[in-house]
Amino acid sequence: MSPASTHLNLKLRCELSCDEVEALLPLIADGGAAGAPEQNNDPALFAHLATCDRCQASLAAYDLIDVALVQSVTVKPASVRVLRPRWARPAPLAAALAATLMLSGGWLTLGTTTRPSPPTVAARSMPIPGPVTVAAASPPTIDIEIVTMPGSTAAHPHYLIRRGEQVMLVSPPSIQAEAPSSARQASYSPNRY
Amino acid sequence: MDAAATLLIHEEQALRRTIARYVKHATIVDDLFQEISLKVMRRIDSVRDPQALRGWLFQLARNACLDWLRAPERRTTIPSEHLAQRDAVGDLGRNPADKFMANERIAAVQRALKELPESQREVLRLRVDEGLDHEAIALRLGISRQAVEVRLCRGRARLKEQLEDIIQGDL
Repeated sequence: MSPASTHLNLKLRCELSCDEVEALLPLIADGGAAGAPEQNNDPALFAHLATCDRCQASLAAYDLIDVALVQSVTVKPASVRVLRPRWARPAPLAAALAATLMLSGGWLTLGTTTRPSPPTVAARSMPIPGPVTVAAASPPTIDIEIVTMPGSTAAHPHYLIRRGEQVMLVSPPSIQAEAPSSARQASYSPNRY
Repeated sequence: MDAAATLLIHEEQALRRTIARYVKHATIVDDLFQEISLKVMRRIDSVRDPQALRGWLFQLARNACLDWLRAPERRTTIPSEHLAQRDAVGDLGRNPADKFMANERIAAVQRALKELPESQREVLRLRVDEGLDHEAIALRLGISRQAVEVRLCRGRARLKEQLEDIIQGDL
């Protein structure tokens, strides 16, 4: 027998015990059941609630849990944090450097000189191959590492950028010139700085 | 003196106790009491049965408290990293209901939800998250409406049991 049916049977009686009321409290808190107790259709139940501290406290508990339940489905757990890969957390200057290189598009496109034509409607929905996207809502799988070189100073920073097997050593003049050719390529070394 | 004023004078303490079960901060209890008093004055004529008056008053108070708790600005969530900071300036945790709404309590509810049997959790999720009524949930899950009600009741009762300690501090 469902709680609502039980409620119908209880309505036939005027006096309700706290235990009987307690069984109906989830229904009252829910408020959505067909035939669920309402003040208009069951004044005796609400009269009991109006005068019974124990049942009032219990109903308030259900109500507070219900409010928290609604919140709990709209709130992301506090412990969830988006962890970015190491390459996505470089120093600001290094990030700017990376972005500049991506925009210039020369070196990382590995000699691709043809400019891509504007995407068609169909193409827009497809991933466009080419330079790595910096914005990382969903981290790309391409492994890029930016390392500050030893001896690098604030005035003369030097960075090593590694993308897979390709390594590039860059410094501010090469960024300002936006000329990939000015960047000196170094042979890949498995040793990390 | 009219019926509304008589009722309010007679029931003021009980009414304040009821409100205080939901919000403990004295200022908010006062505000809600004023709000409920206005509603009583406007609507008391709709109560035909004098026996139903106290129950009606209780339900009015409960609804006012729930409306207050559910108001959009009350739902504004605060990132957990800001909790300590806001606590320190007294902006949060000014009353137990506020504390209950705080992220740590929500996290407790989420943990308690995970402890529920899948059948109860799913029904609660559809009810609370998607706002489906019992009939719609029954259709979605291919079970009877009675089964939905049973699962909702058991799920809520179990949550209350699991969160008793947390709620005790608030009520």
